[in-house]
Amino acid sequence: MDDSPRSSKRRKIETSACNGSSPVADKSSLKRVSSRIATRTASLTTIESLDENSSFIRKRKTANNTPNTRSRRRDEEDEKDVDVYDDFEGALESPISEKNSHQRRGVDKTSSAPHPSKSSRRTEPKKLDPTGELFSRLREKENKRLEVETKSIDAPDNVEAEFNLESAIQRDLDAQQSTLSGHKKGAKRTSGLENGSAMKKKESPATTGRRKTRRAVETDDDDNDELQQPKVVEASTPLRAQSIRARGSSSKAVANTANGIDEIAPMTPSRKSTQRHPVPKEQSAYFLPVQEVPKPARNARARRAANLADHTYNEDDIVPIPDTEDTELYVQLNDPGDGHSDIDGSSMLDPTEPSPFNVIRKEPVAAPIMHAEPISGHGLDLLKKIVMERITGKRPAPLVGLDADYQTVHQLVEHTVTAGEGNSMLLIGARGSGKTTLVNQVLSEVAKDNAEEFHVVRLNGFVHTDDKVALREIWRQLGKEMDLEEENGGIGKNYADTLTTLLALLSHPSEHTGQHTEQVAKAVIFILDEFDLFAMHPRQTLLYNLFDIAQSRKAPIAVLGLTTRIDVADSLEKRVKSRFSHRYIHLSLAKSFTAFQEICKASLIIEPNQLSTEEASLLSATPKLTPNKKSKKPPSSRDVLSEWNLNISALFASTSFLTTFLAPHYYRTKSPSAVLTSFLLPTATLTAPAGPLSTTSPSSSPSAPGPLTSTLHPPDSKLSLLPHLSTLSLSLLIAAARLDIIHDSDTCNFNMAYDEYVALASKAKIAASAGGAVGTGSTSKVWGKEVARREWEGLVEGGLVLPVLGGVGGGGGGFAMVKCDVSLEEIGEGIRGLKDKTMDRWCRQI
Amino acid sequence: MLPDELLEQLQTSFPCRELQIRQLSALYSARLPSPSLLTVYGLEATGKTSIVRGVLRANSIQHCIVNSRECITGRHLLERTVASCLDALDQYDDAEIDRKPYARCENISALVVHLQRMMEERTEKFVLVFDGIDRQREAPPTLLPSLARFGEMIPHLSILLITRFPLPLALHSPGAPHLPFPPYTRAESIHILSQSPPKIFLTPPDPEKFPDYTADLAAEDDAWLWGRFLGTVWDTMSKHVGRDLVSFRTTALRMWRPFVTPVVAGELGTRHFVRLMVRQRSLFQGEEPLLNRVVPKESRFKENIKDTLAVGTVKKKPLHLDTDILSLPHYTHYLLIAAYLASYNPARTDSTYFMTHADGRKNRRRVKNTPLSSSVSLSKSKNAKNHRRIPRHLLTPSPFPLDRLFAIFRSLVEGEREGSVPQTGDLLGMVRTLASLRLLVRAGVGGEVEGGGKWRVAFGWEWVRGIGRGVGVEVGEWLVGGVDG
Repeated sequence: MDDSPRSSKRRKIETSACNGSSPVADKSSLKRVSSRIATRTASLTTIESLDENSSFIRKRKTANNTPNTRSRRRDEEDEKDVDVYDDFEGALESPISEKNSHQRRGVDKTSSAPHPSKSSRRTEPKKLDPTGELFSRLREKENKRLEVETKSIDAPDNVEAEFNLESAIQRDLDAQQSTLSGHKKGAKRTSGLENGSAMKKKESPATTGRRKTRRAVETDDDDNDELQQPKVVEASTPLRAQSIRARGSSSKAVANTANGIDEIAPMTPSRKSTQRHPVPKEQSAYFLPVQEVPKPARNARARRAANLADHTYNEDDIVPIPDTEDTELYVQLNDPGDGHSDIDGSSMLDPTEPSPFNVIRKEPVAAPIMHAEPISGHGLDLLKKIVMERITGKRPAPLVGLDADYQTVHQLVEHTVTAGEGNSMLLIGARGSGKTTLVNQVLSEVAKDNAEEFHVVRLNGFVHTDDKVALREIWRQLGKEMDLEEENGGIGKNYADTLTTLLALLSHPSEHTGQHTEQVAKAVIFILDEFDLFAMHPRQTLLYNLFDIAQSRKAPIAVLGLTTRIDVADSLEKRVKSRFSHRYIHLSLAKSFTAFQEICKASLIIEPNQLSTEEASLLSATPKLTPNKKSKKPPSSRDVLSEWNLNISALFASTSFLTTFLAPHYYRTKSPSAVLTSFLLPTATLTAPAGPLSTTSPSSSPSAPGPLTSTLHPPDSKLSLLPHLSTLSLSLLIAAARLDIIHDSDTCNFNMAYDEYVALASKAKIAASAGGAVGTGSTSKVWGKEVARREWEGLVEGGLVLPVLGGVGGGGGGFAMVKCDVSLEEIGEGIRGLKDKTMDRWCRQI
Repeated sequence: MLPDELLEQLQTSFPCRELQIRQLSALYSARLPSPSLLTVYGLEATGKTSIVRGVLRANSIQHCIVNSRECITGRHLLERTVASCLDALDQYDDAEIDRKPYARCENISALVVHLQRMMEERTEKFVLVFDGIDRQREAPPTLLPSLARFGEMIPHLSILLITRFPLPLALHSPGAPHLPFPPYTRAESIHILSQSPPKIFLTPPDPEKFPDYTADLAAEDDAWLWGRFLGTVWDTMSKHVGRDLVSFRTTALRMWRPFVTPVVAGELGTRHFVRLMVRQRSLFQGEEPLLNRVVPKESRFKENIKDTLAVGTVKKKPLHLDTDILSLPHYTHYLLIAAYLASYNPARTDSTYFMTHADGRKNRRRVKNTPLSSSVSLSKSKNAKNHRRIPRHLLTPSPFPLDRLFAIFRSLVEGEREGSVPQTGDLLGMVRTLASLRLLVRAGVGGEVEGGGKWRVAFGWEWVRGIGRGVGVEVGEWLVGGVDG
């Protein structure tokens, strides 16, 4: 079969040949090196050239149609196609970094390899179609396809859609064509056997969905093999976004030129929509309406949302979504009451996001969160158990919007396990961004196939506070898994011995014996939680050794560091840093409110496929209702699970829940776990209607505090303590805060605060007695110093005033300098509710 | 969730904590999984530990409680955790666990390993309660965040932290559930304390004199009077100082006996609350019941109460109290005053204050009406309010060398008595004694008196003024800048 260098050479020749006939192509190839700003125009011209090319091809094809030459011509034509795509890609590629684009071009060539087969298939309907419209459409689809294959890392969904399309196309094809394409595919073997087989499989029109996805993964993996480096580099850089945008507009242009009707007009500049929305559209237009799985839609939305920065979103990004599955989103978007009521023209804010600037409804929040109609059935307990396990993190939650990162990590781990590579990678992201979930999911996924071939060692920087402890722990965990005898092993010996033994254990056997053996050491996956703390260990011995093993291929190990610190690589020593592969994955918290909703919702909704069969059967069994119950509620024959899911969906569709409950979380913490925590109590107290607990449930007894009032969240600040302070403590605190302003220094001591208090209180006393209110006793009494001292100590313990470190004169005389941790204004706000206005005045007047 | 009767029972034993009991029992029930971490927080005397223990017991959940207050080091805490977990497991399983592998627990990692080993074969959940973990002494720096992750690392284990304040930052895990125990309100505090009224009559009154005063009647009277009394105590005392339940109870109990004295003496009836209040109102004006003292003050306090009608005594007493306790030698008083002056007067003013001039008089009384104070007031009015001077005596004492102390001391003594200090006076010995009493402290490192290091006083203005008045020296006159009080 022809190899890629040859074909590429040939391609070049073909291109030059083509140049003779169509000068536009030349133009586009010149444009390839044009600057980034010109990319857009360049792409447009390319499209024109593409169009011309295709028409040219068409002409040629109709001219001679002999079966003998046909295959040859098809070849040429394929090459031309490739060339066109190459140009297309090249023109769109902004040549920012020479290396990058270089790699990229290579990638394009290789990854466009599976291409011609398909295009050859698709030329057939073109011939049948006299207008040629279909062809151009298919072309455009091909473009998309290309994109999917080259870079979309979350290919499965897209590919699936493609498959639907293909199967539809297939119906229109004749047998001859399929054999032809089979032959064509032979030429494609360069990308490896697996790829070839995958392609072959694609040909068969009817495949089960499961197989489809699997295949998609395979192809994707192949792509990853080839693209590994560039992909990591290019992961959603602005450059990329721009090229995508250009592509989106270019495909639009194609559509415009191809058929006068602008059907794909509402295409959005985001990657997702270019890839995805037009496809179902066309399907419904030209082929059978294919039922789409709702899942890809959700992913698409999440990803689309993830793709866009929070505030750069504008309306046409979301509003004109042609997908029918997106109706739920639509409901929210078009809900007139939701966000469009803000008339202050805050166009920078996504109107769908309930923000503090939008009108906040006064509806009671507790109403929507719990289910007015209680879920009935036997599975309730199980359901509660499952949901609580979900919330408390004992059951893995689904990943939302992390597909790309998941693929990267998965691939890395898999390569270590199956191919024996040494790898290292850092996952950086804020708390609650899903690092651990991601890694756990990857491990469980890898363990499905290769459970016997790797060990996992988990370390946590909080627990394993120095290298010695960490090493001992590694030894223990490995020993446990490898069934090493604990006694005469390295444990308990000194550090160096342990390290040596460990290294020997991890290393490839051939290294000691000197002879080459076929035996492959078992892979070890090291997961270092709180990686930054490991970097703080003196001399970073552990990291050095781990990275060294990983890098020098002594043993198949993968080191995954999980951290919250972005600058963690800077804290690595030079020798450690040089051994680190510098692969990073940055996980971010939800970038938009919609994405946040999705994450929270996905963690609460329980899909049947996430359950074990036993649980699923128990939950999905339609509850046997007792006759009297049936008479009460005849239509409720849904099972517990779907009822729960419906409830959650309804909850997340309710505006008041979103605005008054979820939005504050999003704007303040973006932490999904905080949201989940607030579901803990309502879930635990969820009641079965027949149970004895119904009287105590929050939903049925209105007097009991609603579930949302006790969300188990810690208060925001110490200010929540203020109302609980005794009046003398509060007075002293106010005095200290006043001194802060009066003396213009942030420290004071008890004596000063007490002095100030005495001054204030005596003044208040005089004023009170002048006013005639004698003996009310509240602030009219000036308390003695000893009593005040006691309260002051309470304040210090409570952290409202902080002792200044290094302050002298602690102990005896109340000279210890402290810093008042709350400001006067804050105190004034905090005690607003008090009846006594004296202290309020102290806060306001100096 | 608990069955209703168990809930009821818990609620009667812990009144005014219905919500917390309900939440806790919802989170820690036998059937449902529990959160791997829960922080129960609230100020002291809000019933955290008792209620947690009560709920866990009532739910028959395996648990053990480790009290940080009983552990003096971090390692102690770890070892104790292992030991008490083993004890608890022994008890629940009725079997002895071999303790040999658990002999040492030197760091958090070892604790994790031990706990993992313990929980390995268990199927039931185990709740490990750390009481007062935020006040653990010498805790390892990563104790709290690692404890927060124990529940994730070890199956079947739930961690429950009982703290004074919420720890959202210290735990390093967002969204960790926190359960608040708010302080009791006035009504709640009074309700709780009125459950157990103390007796009015320690010994029941003579049955011959009052034949119809039965025990039931007495109990009723106790409750009635105690309830009203509590309200008054809250409004006058505990609302302002010592608001928590325990302080409130201590204060109320301290005041109870003096309060009911007229009733016990038979001067007033048990239901004459208003008259009792009027009679005993001075009791509520003092501060003595609020102060916790190591040295018993019984006698003095009673005295105080006896002549309650003389209002002034209450005010003056504290000045003499401490000097009474100390009962130092005569010259030591001067030494203390000299130390105070050395601490608070700048050294450059010493020549004005203490140097004997040719006329033999020291102009010590210049302070009161020198232009210095008037200039202070002038600058005060000039700069309005934005720069108020901090009175010196409120600030930290500055260190002084011993030589200066002795010089001032001599000057003081000779000025007062027109004589000289006896040669036999062992000044260094006195300083040593005062240092051992922690009245003088060394400013730097080292403890040698002879070393000539710097010293500093460890008492305040009010105290030294009392001492000065005791020996007839008005300290304020010697102090630069003067003191208003």
